[in-house]
Amino acid sequence: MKTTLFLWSILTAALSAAGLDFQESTKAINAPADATEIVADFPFTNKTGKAVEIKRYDAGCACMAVGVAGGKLVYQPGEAGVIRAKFDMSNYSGDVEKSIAIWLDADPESTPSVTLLVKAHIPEVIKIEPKTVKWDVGAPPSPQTIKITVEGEEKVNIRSVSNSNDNFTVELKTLKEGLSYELVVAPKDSSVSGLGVFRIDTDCKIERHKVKQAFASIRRALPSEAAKTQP
Amino acid sequence: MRLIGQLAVLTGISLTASAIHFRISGPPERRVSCDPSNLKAHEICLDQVVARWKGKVLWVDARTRKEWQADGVPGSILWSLDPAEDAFKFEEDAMNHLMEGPPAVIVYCGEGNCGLSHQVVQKILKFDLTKDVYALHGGVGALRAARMLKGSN
Repeated sequence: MKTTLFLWSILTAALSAAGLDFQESTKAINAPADATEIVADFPFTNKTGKAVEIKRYDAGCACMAVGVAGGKLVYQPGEAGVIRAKFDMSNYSGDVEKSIAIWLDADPESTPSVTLLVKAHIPEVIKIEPKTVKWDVGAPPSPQTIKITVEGEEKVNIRSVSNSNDNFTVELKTLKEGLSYELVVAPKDSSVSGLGVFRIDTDCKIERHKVKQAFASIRRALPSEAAKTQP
Repeated sequence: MRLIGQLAVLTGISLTASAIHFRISGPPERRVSCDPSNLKAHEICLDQVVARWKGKVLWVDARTRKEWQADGVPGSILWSLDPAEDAFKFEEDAMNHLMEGPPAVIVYCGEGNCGLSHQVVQKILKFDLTKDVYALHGGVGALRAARMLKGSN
């Protein structure tokens, strides 16, 4: 019976113990403004005394492809490998964090053994501030300004601004050619609610930064907002 | 032969114990645990969404279009960060819904490993139309356990 219990304990221990040792679990990457993809490598070594199998890996996002170098999934004691994450940055800017979950051996579905993190900084190139100018219904239709600032190394000129709503007037002012602009927006009639969408078309050489979007809104104050403004 | 017999006995005892436990405690808890004191900034538990707004919020699905179409929360809108999608269209669509003044905006994404909802929360906060924008802790797993997904009730 002692032998049986010993074998039983070995079996259960083998099912619960697993691990790969990663040199670093977080990678900070400063991406160039024109990069469309960044790659993060996470080298690891099997420092346990038994073979470890990578059962599954997932970045939870269509924007990131994860793979194991060479497609090798089983690592003997002492063997090393690399997890490679390729991050498609087409729809991202600013500071972005993406995690990669890795399930080893008998990991339960809800708790992967390893979580890796990619911290990417993606320059905005063109900064729009604020993104939305807003008026309450019935408020004075005084003009408001959206600042457009070029933060990249190269100058960017604004070619045109389209306006989806005739109830807003839009005037583009150039403060510094290729560097700084203002969009002055005013409602013609602030007694009706409505949304204006402005597409700002530029000559930026980086495709994903070429067009920017800003908004104007006229809407009724929400009960919660009205309560906050009351004394 | 004796060894096999003893292993069979141990396995039998384990299975019997499991069956008794199941009868007494019921099926395993499938709810996604969520401790409000351990949440990140602009993250929220499903229980809080139900308690504060009875679940009547603007739901934003940050998964892929295919996943949203398969089992998104009824009435939710899609904001996928899939590079193949039109990001401007999502912004415009979200703005149109925000104009209606929802009491809160709750963004959810996939199970287990998903930070997409936090990215979308930051994008919506930049509109500055409401501060009540949150990523749902546990994502679609929490919604599935609560039978709030399309086709789950």
